[in-house]
Amino acid sequence: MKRLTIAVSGINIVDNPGSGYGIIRSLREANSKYRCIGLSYDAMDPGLYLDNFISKGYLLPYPSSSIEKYLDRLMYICGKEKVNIIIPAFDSELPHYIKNYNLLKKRDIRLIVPTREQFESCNKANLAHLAERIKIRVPLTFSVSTFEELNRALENVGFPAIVKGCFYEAYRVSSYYEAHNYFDQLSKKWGFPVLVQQFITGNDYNLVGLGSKDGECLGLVAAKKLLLTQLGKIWTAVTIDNPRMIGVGKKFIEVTHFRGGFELEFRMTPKEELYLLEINPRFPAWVYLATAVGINLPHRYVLNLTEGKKKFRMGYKPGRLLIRYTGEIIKNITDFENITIKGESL
Amino acid sequence: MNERLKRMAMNENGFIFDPQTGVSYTTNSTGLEILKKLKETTNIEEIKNYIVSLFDVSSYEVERDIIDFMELLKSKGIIE
Repeated sequence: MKRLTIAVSGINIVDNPGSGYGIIRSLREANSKYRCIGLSYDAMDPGLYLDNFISKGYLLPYPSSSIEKYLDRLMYICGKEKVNIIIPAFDSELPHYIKNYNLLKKRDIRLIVPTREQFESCNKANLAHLAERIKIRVPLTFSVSTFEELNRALENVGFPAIVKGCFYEAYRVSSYYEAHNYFDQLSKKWGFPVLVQQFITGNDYNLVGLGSKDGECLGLVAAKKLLLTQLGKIWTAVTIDNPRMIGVGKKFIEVTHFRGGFELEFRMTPKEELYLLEINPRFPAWVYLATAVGINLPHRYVLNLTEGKKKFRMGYKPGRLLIRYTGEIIKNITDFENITIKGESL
Repeated sequence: MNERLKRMAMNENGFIFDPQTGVSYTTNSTGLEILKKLKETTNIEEIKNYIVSLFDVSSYEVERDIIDFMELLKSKGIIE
């Protein structure tokens, strides 16, 4: 069998990690012959320095740079490393992959990414519309671009409220003063609109899933967040067997025919009312927890592309814990120099 | 019986895990026995007799404790 080379982004294994580490760990556990290449946007990404983990690491220009520049560099890496498959791990790079899907396919580089329509349907501002189609509650949400709109939205949702950036970050606010500060901060960082959302009291849950290249369900796993970082990211989580969340995941794929990895974020009230808070159109950083219960979604992604496989075991055990931890590695300054000067690891 | 209580996994150490919500609790041996009995019946008299047969405790004390414990379970939505 041909040895596959798989390029994976999101190897920023920091306090707010990308999903690259979990994806590569899952792939390597499934098949030790997979050759994994790390794609990074920052010379300090720890993943670039884990020699036993990736065969080679490369720097890419930020997705916000010109598409030509991005594509030139990607093609250079794919040509040099003979990349067969790419697994993008960031929302911000997806538009480039969606736009150049056919070009990559022509060069025999395969990937599963959503269509532009599917990608846009996951947009925070479009959540209410999608939630209606998949029959799930969402918190009352307003898109705002001015202080006047912000005040009106806050009058509607009351306090506490959530103020969210259009791409990343969300903050709980308890006063107009706090809301104005975060509105200012988030709009400068992520642009407009900023979202104002009703605060729902309850526990946080996430669901990871994968839609095949033809939009069929290849697996779903739900987890309860047990310990969160300041940004609300999972630090510790436990798998659960919740038929309602799994049902919403299935319905999401059935309605949208979504292609690729995704994450649904939920909050459940003490009365067990389920709200959908967000949809992320890529694998989450905790994707390895699904692998640990036998639902290896990154491997299924590869098998769907290479063998067209779409029948997989769907059941899994609740009660498996994911515990994130910090660690250190020691490298020479020459490793950093190489990445900074040549844009690739040694 | 309450659906939530029915699905709860309990072990002899008093660790209780709800596999649908991921919420976990701990209880002592008396609480654990009350929960086990609650899976069969909600009749306080029956639960009281069961606990008295297991522990060296008066019927009056047990009844009060069972009622308190059941109130706590209700506040957490474990029983109705």
